[in-house]
Amino acid sequence: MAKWNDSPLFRLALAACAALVAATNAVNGLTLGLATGCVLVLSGAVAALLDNFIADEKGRVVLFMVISAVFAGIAQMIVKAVCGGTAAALGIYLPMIAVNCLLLARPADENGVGPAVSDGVKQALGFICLVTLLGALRELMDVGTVFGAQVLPKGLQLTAMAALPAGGLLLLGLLAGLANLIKPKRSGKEDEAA
Amino acid sequence: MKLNLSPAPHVHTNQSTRTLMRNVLIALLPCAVAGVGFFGFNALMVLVVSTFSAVAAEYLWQAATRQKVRVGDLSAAVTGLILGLNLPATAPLWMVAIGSAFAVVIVKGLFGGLGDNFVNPALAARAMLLASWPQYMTRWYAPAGLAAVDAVTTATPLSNPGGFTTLQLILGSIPGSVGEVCKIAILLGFAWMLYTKTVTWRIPVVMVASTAVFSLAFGNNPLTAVLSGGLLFGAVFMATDYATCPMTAVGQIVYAALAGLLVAVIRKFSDYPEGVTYAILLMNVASPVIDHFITRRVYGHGKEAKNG
Amino acid sequence: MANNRTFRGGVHPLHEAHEGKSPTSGVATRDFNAKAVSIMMGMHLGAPSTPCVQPGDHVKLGQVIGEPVGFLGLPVHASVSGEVLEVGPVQSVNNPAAMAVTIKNDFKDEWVELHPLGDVETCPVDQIVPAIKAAGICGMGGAAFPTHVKFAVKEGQYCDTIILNGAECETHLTCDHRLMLEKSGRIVDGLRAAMRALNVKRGVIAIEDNKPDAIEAMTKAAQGRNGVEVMPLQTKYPQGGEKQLIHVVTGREVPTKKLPLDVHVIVLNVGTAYAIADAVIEGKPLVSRITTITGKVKKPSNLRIRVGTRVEDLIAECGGFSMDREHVGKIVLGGAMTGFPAPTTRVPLAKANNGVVVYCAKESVEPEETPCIRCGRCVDACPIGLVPFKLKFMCEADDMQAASANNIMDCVVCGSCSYICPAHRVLTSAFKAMKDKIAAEAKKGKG
Repeated sequence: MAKWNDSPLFRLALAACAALVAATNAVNGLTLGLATGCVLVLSGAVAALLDNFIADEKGRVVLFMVISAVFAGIAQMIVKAVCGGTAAALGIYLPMIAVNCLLLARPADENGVGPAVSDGVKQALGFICLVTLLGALRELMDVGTVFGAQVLPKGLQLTAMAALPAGGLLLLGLLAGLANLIKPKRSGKEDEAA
Repeated sequence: MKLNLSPAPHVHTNQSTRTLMRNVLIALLPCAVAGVGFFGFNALMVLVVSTFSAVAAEYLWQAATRQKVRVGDLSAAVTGLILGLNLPATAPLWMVAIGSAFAVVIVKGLFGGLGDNFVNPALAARAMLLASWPQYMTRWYAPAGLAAVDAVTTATPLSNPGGFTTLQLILGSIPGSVGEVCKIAILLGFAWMLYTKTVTWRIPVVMVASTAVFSLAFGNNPLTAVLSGGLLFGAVFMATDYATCPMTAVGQIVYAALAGLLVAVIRKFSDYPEGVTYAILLMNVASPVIDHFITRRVYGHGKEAKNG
Repeated sequence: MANNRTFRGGVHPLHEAHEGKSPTSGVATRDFNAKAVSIMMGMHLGAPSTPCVQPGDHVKLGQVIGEPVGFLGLPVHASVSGEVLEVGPVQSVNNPAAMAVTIKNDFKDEWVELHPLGDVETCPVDQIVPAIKAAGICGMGGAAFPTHVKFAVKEGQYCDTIILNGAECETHLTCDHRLMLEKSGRIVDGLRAAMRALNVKRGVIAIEDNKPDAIEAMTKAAQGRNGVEVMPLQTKYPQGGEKQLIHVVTGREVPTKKLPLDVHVIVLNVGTAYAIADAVIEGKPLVSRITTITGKVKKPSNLRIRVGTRVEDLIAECGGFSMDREHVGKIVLGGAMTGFPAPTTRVPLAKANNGVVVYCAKESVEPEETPCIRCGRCVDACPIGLVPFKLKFMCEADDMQAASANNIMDCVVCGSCSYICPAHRVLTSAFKAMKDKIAAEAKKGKG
């Protein structure tokens, strides 16, 4: 189950910072997830295309950063245009996709464009699902709505802490624990065989 | 005749985990009695619920995770009682129970159980409650004795400095959480813990002194600073939690001094009126670093070891 | 009056009960000659000696019955005169099959021909250490290290202080205390012989201050003796540990992995000094010692026993158990902090066995080991400055590298940490096992 083992939030614990602060409700989470995911896939694809032209290891890293910065900038402009309110809510974390650890931690892909894209898509999908779930749960606990639809009785606030980064981190930890319960971590050796 | 072959040493100290925890519970009794005396039946219910839910949470957690159930060592009871003493008497009982469960299961149990908590469980629970339900955690009522039923919200000594005499601060007829108001009760408990060698003098004394010094440096009356809020209670009962303070004497002094500094800084420069909770929590997290840098020299190592 | 300098850490076991010493500290030593003795060949630290007698042989008191083997070997002597009954394995305290020579005592105490060197102040200096070896003397305080090897000074080394360990910090034991009261002159003679052997100018007799009468007796005996002084020490366990003793008496620390001779010190037990005096002045080999028998026996006593006497004979001599046999829980050879539990009452005593403590079943119940509460009492108690609770986690994880890196090899297995732990963690024996493991690995790597 490669998807689980590469899961950015649960297993690799990357991109947590953006998720905790920005994904305070389902809409924000979804937007952040989609933006990050698209930048991830596209910049990965372009980097794989240009891989053959750069031999130097360090040069590759710099190039990758430039590419992801370009795509992040484009994503920021699109999000601002489509849903300006959400863009304001996400604040600094939208342009920060450029330096999102998730992007920078991508292993050097020697296999060409196809595998790079499919890898990126898998990670992106996982990230989008989980960050949206996190946002939805936090929204539910804080104001009782999901995607704006009132689920809990109006006026009932489960806990104010869910909207804070501290509550987000706690919730993330509990969800990760739940994930480990459902699909326990495999040892490193099994990973190599798989 | 069947001879036991267990290895040396064949003699052990009389103290056990249970006796240590029992001594802490006894030390907390004066604060509990004073708190109930000042804040009435509500306070009693808070204490009962906090202690009981902590013990129940630990029992359920240990049973659910198939560990040996060790509620008999009284550590959960201590956590529960300390948490209860840290809450306002008007705290809703469901909130108290959630706090106790959080302290015992998440801060203690998930990290490995007794001895493995990374911060003080009661204090972390209090911080969580403050972040989750701030409206219930800041309703302070003036003490009205055992007959208190309805009362008027008033400001605590930290929000209203100068509104209380020193005697009032010492005796405890002031608004505040159940256990922190009566300083005499706290000192009685401290004396009991010193006598039974449950804690050493270092951390409470240094932390209080440090708070006084830095409060003075920031322009406040040091005596009032020491007697207001949860400083004395925190320094005696919460900063001294074994698992979260450094293990060397020098390390403990550094820990307590920095905690005192943080209390004064948070009180002076931040929006929070009370700094003890976060000061101790921050120093709890810093303890392993202190232990890493301040270690004991091993006999025979270092330049003190003469070599020919 | 006590030396203000003390070592860091340490504990006070059984302090409320005078360290368990009151039943025997005021009782004069009496001789005990058993009907038979089983003298083991491996009573010292080093290769067991080879028996050189056979069943049926008649041996005299002091006759060599075991030849030394190897660099750390020692000769073994008959501790009674009589007929050799058996030469074969017996169950000892830590060895189920220890080679031993069993002799039936004919109670004649016929000595073999002795070769005394004479007065300690005038005897030839270069013959002192060979006499110590020939007498089969090893450390009588429990370590059983061959004494003559302690005097083997290498190129570039020298010794300027000999310390006599009269601390007796262990619980229950009073044999050294009684020896200092009853034979103070002889002890000083032994010290002087040792000092002359290496031309050492300073001899210190270190005594814990819970024995004021012994301090007085030894001070009197030391008067007029060249370079000998008595130093009272603060009573604290393990003051009698070699490293702590050297540090408090001389201010020097033995560097890790080195020996006392590397800081110019030799440490000897007072019983060993007494044996040295016997060997030099009268030419007598090591055949007897004082042992404290205490605990749940009817008459707790200090007995001067012959090497190889069985525990059951000693208990009988002390009036037997003070309860039914079925309620006997544990019999410890040594004190409560470092003693070895005996598997049966038939085990024979060795040269270094200084005590027999009998526990009833109720006292022998081991407390249950519970999780570590990180109270840090073990850290405060450790006289070496280790962090026992952390070492215990490494032992539980079987992590030899981490334990080594955290200086487990410097542990002196004193038992202070296990004693003081409120969670009753099994610390000392876990460390001993890990140390043995690491030493065995190191040996494998070298050989």
